[in-house]
Amino acid sequence: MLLVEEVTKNFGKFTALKKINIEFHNGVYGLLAPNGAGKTTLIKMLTTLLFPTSGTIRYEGHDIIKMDDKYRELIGYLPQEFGYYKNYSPTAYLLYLAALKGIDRKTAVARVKELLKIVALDHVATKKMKKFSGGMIQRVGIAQAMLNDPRILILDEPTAGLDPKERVRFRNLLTNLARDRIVILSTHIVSDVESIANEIIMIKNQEVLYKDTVINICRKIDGLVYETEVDYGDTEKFRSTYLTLSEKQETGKMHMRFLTTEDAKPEWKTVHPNLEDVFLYIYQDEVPSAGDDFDD
Amino acid sequence: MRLLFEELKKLFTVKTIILLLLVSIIIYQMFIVFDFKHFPNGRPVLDEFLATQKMLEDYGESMDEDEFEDFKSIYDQRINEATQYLQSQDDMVAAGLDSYTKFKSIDLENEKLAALHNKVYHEDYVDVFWEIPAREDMIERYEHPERYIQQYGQINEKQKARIEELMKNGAATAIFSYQVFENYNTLIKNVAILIFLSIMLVILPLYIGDRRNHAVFLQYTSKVGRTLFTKKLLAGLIASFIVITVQLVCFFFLYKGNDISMFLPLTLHSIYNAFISWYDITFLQYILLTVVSIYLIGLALVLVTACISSIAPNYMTSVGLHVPLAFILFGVGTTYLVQNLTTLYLFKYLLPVLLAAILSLSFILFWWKYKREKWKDIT
Ligand SMILES: Nc1ncnc2c1ncn2[C@@H]1O[C@H](COP(=O)(O)OP(=O)(O)OP(=O)(O)O)[C@@H](O)[C@H]1O
Ligand SMILES: [Mg+2]
Repeated sequence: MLLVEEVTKNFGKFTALKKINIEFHNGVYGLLAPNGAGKTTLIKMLTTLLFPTSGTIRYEGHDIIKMDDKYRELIGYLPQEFGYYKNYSPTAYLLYLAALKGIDRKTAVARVKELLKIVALDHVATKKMKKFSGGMIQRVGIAQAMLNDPRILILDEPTAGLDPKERVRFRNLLTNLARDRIVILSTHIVSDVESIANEIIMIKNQEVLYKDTVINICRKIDGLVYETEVDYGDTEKFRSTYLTLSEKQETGKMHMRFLTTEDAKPEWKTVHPNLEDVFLYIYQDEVPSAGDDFDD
Repeated sequence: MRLLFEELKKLFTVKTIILLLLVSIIIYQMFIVFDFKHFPNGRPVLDEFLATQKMLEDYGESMDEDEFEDFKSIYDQRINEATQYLQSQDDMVAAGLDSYTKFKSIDLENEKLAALHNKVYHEDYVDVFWEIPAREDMIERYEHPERYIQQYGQINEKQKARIEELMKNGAATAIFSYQVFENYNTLIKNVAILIFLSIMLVILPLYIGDRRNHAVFLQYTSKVGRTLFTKKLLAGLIASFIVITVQLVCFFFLYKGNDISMFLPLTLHSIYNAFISWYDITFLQYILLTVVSIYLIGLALVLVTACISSIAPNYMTSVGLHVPLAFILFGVGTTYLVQNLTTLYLFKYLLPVLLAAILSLSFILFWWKYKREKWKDIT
């Protein structure tokens, strides 16, 4: 069990995360929050790249900072910015990282081969990464995180750059892996985690807002989500009155999905809320600002 | 071991090696080859060098009174040879120059005679005419050992005592060649500059590279973690050791061509050398001292360059920070730590004190950086 206790992280005067408490057991955890919410900050603390300003993180009761290499041995990490050597082949690079992870050479060679197959890069195993596409690089990153068969797999926006087919493969892979380990992945793409995460963690205003199953989280706005059809001419007015969640054109009318606490009108059809609805609802008043795009 | 090797591999990329070769070739062409090609540089310097070589062959490490008589007799012989040469030349005889004595006292204002003088020296390059003034000079120096002291001008009691001690211990009769010493001194300074520059080029990307491309996130979260910082330093030290050694081997291989091996076992202290050390050392020992000094400065340089590499936010800043360092190191640095080591002009313990100070300062600097690296937020 990985336990985050009262963790606060300040960057100078700026507070990125405030009194965070989270318990991780085996399974997939989706860290879902918009840009700049502090996902990477939390993940970097879980990987010992950042030190909490206050609070502790424990694995099986031991402070991960005191555990030192004993802890790092247990983790696999894909950073948001995956660093690679463009003149290396995936095989050479993974072998280098295996050396850093203290995996002996013979084991590493076999493992690298196996992993490159899993991420479907075996056909370019010895090609220089210079010419790889973004998605291929990302897959090298995913492979590298699994080199040491980690107890805790931490992935910061792992699906960035993957095509739909690879996304599906990746999700299946994670579901398999999560049976006997902790998998934490951050994303702001709801569909990445909706189907596979055992629990979703949502961060708002530097604090954990929800940590629950998808179903339970969706229940928070049960009965508030509707669908209806609106004339084209009225869409502007509709949008400004209700929180529209999605819209699409349909046979001369506009099909709107929206959320409101007002009493339902007869032409509205109540629907089951999904995670995306919750996301849009929770973060509706967050105006994207320049600062949000600032990573590390 | 494996990690060390991996890090070394990253320091010696094909690009770096090509860059090192290019820089070496350029620096050799611009600053070093000259002192190989033109050694001994000109005349009568060459003649003096040849005479010194013969001196060594004939008399051994020093020249006593009897041997000096012999040396002088060779001089007389050369004068005879010069005279014979003049007598064999019709134009010389016609001008009344039928002996070396007459030739020597030529009135150079007289255009006709000056032309003849010029012909002997610069058109016909008659060796013996070059050799005579060289030998003359050497004889004079032997006969006036006090000039050895006088060349030092204002000296304090300790320095005076040192020179007197050397004179008593045979400097007055010891054989050496200031050209050999000067030549080595010039060469080793430029070689040291090349070595230090090479070290900078190799160590510059040590930390900055992995930080810039974010590989550091993977490194510091792997089992080895932040101890990689010191492993990389070790790789840097090994890399620099290799660079220094290869550069020195290449240099001494070329230096062998100067054919000065007979000077190696000789003491530096001779009236035929202008350099005085605080310590009784031979030329070979002096060379070894410069080599040791280069290795030690190289070590300090790795520490400092590594620090810069771990602090500088980008390559431009890093290069910028290296500029003043290079300025100091290539200038006064080499002047005091590679050239004229242990010279009587300076404080007796300057070299060990300076080296110790530089090494401990750079160690402290690196240690400070290492401590910080351990608890730094990696963002
Ligand atoms: N080193 C730093 N110094 C100052 N502020 C920082 C630093 N790192 C992050 N921040 C701030 O902390 C907040 C959280 O950043 P973080 O990178 O954790 O967000 P994120 O949720 O990962 O965003 P994204 O989805 O864009 O990756 C941001 O407002 C960011 O500006
Ligand atoms: Mg992030």
